[in-house]
Amino acid sequence: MDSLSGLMDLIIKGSNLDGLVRYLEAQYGAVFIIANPWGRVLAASDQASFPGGSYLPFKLPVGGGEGVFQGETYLAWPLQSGAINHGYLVTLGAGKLPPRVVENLDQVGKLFLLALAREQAVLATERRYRADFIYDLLYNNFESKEALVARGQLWGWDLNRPHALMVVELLAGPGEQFRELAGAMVLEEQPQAILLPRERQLVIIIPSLEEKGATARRMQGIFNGLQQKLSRYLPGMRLAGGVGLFYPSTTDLYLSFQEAKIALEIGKLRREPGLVFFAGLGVERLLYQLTPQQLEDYYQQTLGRLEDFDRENGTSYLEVLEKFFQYNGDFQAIARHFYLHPNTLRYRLQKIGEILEVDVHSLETQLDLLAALKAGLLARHRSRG
Amino acid sequence: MKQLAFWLRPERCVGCRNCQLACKNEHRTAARINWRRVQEGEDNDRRYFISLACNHCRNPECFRVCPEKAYWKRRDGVVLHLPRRCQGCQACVRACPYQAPRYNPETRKAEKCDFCHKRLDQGLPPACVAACPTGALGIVAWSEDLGEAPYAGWPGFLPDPALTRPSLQFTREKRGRHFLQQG
Amino acid sequence: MRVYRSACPCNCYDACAMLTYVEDGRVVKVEGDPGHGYTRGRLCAKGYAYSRRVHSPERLRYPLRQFPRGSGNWQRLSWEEALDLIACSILELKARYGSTLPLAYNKYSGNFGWLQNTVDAFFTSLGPTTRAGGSPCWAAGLDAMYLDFGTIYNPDPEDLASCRAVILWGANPAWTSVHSLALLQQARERGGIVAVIDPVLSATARWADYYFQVKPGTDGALALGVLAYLYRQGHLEIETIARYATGWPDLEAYLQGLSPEWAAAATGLPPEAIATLATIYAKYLPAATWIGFGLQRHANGGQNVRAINALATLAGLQDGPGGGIYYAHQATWPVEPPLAMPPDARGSNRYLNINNFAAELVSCREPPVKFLWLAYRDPVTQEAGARQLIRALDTLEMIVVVDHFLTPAAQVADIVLPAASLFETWDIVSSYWHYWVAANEPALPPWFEARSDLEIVAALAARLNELAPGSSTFPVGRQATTWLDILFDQRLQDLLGLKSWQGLLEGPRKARVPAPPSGITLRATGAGEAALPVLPVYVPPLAPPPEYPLQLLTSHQQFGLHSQFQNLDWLQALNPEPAIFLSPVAARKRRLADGDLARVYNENGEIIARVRIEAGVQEGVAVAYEGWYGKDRYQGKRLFSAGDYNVNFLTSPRATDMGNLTTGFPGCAFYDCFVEVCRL
Repeated sequence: MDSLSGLMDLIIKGSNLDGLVRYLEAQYGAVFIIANPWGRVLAASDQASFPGGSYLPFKLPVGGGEGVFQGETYLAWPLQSGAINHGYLVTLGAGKLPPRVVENLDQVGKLFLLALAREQAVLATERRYRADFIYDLLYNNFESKEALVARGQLWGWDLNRPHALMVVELLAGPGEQFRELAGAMVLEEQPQAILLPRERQLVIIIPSLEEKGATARRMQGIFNGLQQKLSRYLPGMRLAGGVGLFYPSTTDLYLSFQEAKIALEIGKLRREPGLVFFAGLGVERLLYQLTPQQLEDYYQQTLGRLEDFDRENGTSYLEVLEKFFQYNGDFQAIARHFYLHPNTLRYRLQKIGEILEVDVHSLETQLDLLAALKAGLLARHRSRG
Repeated sequence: MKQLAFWLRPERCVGCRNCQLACKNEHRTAARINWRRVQEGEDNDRRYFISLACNHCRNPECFRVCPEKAYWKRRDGVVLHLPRRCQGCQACVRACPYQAPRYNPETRKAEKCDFCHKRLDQGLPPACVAACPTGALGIVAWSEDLGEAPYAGWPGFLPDPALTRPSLQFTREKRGRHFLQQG
Repeated sequence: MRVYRSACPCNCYDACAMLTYVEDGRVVKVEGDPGHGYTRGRLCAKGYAYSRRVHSPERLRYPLRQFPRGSGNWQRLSWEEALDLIACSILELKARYGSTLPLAYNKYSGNFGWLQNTVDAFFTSLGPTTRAGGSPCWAAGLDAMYLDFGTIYNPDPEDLASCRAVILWGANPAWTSVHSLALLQQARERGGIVAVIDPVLSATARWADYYFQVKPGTDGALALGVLAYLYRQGHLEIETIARYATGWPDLEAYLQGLSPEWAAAATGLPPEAIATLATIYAKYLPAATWIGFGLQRHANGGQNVRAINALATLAGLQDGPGGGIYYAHQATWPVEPPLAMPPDARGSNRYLNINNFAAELVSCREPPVKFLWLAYRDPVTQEAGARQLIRALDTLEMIVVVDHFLTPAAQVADIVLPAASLFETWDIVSSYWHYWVAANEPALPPWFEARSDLEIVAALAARLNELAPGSSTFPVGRQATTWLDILFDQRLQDLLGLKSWQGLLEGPRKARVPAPPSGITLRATGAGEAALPVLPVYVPPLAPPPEYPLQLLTSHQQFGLHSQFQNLDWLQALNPEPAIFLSPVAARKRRLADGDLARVYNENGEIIARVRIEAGVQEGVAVAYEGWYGKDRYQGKRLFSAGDYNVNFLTSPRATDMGNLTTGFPGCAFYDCFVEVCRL
């Protein structure tokens, strides 16, 4: 009971979680760790083995329980309040854990839940203020650049420097884990990043590098890194991302934000989404401005006859045309895709030209056909019942 | 993040234009400038009235294309226009798929629906909403990004919401209608 | 910013109470008064335009004289000059004919505020004069109500919200009573249905659950066909009917000869429509039947209303609250305050039918009419056979118009006086529909030199008495508020439970709703005396002559109230040019395309309008909404100006079957108008 009074005393004095776990280790002679529901270390009495922010090297049994890790026994105790799991209190000791520890865990857990809730409330308030500020930054919601820079300084951000912006969206996978993990993963690589989680999206703002190409490569690196790391924890998840233009002043970041979202939306229409740069959008950017009806009209005028022909004759010339562009006109590659002889494909391309009454080898025609394919894709994506 | 949105129930709308004129009365816009307009369109063989103003989009195009930074978005999601910054270039007028910003040749500036933010701050609904007799026009506060869900009842004759993510929610009511007319 | 109580006095079901926000002597906005139980804080599209109307750059500012008449040559007058010209004309005519009967007064519904009565009192104060009597609006229907129920009764329309069925029979509240839509929507939310019977697929019909498209003027056949069907199916409570309805056996005998097929053929409906409407009356109780004013504007209009009365009453005897027949009432309206004529006056007023004013004006002899005071209306846009009216007016020596704008009637006047608006005057406004009454207080200083109608006639009476003492008994010093004290008589005090009308300055108040009638008279001897069928039997409508095969319906428009409001730029922007609505078949036969300019004509005249093809219009019908008058030039051409466009160039002053009993004259069969259309 003494150790419980001691814990309470520390909590009243305002000790943080680190102080509490160190106290417990001194009392019980075992390692104590506080982890979040996904196993990230919030506080540990053995900082060397379990640094804060890292992930536990063993899997936490859902709902708590015992396990063995590298010859040591660990016990994970869920910090549960109602149906919500706020994390785990984990103890780790050589051999079997002393019975004293196990007996008191229930009460200790309650105290930790209290301490954790208090710390999370402080963090949530802080996060909300920070989110409000980032919202203002993204929506041109400030009076002057001076005001913007001064407010940024409160959070330790130097908004006098130019910044670049990316929006990442989780297309498939669990949103909760994405929100929990993605931000931390970005911060591991880019501690100075400014982050704003938005449901299934994460807005990432980083200081620009001297050269635009380098900034773009850095963005691509962050995106790729995030994709790799996340897929380890969330198998089957898919990401898309958009990057806005780079502006010399942070007062223009809100423009970059809008552009990033457009790039993201266009990327999502592509067959294989990835990171799309607004600066790199080609004809799609123009097509995107048109109404679904205009797009459909253009598609029908350019490729309607081919579609009709396919339907009437059970052929798949449209698909051949799509693959032709997808493989950059490489007949060997397309042939492999269709398990056909390249000559057969050449003949089919010729036939497409005959059906559409165009010269398929002219660059001008190819531009029309490619644009029409993209227009058709956009129109179908955007038309609704 | 909170986002205020207009809420339409088209099956309830009789096209009375109360909303449109209440808006003019509230904001005293010039004769030919209507921040809110009732449009007509056909959807599934039925003619509908749709009352549209600024949709206070999540991805406002007005805001992106304005070279004077005259647009901003409040934390409740309301998109506002600062006339003192506006140079009247009309980029926003051209960019908005819903023609929400209107160019006023007398002031030589753009102007648009401000969600009656002054009334909101007093706890009152926008003038257009207060004027609607059938509940066809209302407001809702989205507490999160609802993705495609609010667009489920989107009428086909309106511009696609994918680009700008308008804060406009449709609720469709299924009521059978019986027309008894000569063959 | 101060807020004042206002009340919209226009001829409208809803009679809104308003709150007017004033800053620096200008109305910055108007709002509905949330304390008004029927309009509940909302106005309509027209009402919201008051903030524009009151300060409109086109609003009249000074007394004007046009010389010569119709020349467009206007001079500004001082009030002294204007009143002198008018007073001299009055006194000269009185001397010339030894009578005040050459003086005529024609007013109607442009402002239904209680103080309208003071202008009548002014004319009484001069001696016997010539008055326009009757009503272009509701006369035939009122008579039908009176014949059937012995009274004019309207249930409390707030009860519409608790009905299981609301049958809108020839009413389009989406355009003419928008606050009622809130109640209909409530009824729907509680599981009720809304049915519309109308020859035109109106905005309300588009919104409703059921729509029955009848041929114009055949409503009686539908009502009787449904009643006969209910009778045959055993849905009528015969024993209760025998007690409640006098003359049932006679009607029973008549119904036995009617079939759904007959009713379908007469109305142009598919036969199943009769059973459908019968089911609504039999199964959805309580059912409210709202009889609009439109369907009684036919030569058989009163008779059709009687047939609907019979159906709705006999089918609805078991109705709970809210059920029954809705038409209109006059329970909360004041009566003209008594005023003695001058001691030397002999005889009584001479009344001319307001619906045939032009012809009766010209045929008046001994003495003829020479002077006309036009107030609260524009007969040039609103009277059937407007061309004849313009010619008749030209026979007069002096025409005075009191109005807010230079209306088409003002343009053929000699003297035009600027009227104060509701925002500059005191008044009280009642409704002919709901039971709320609201006060109107002055919110603004006078608009330039505009004066209230009361101030104008008081000043005129004073001037007359200066020039010829004793020629008017009008109490010139009596203030508007004192007039209201007098008009707020014991009956109105009791109805509203107020000792004085000033109680209305606390907010609008609802009058006690009178008791419903105790029975229906199916065999109305009063009708027989007027040479009308005693029973509510079917009288077919007029058939179109071969040369004019299209029946022109000139129903109310959306963005104006008769001739008012639509001239405002805010509303004209929504309704920039007049249209003639045709069915696809009628248009194809005439090789007309949507958007063509067409000539609409008959023996009375012609108008030019833009063709709009609508599937909701019947083949034998054309629709052009009334009250539109426009700009002098349209896109550089003289096309739709007031002198060229007016639906009443086509109508003729044909009488409805009823109206004499309650209004003194028959109503006007505006919609028995037949035209042909061709490309311009």
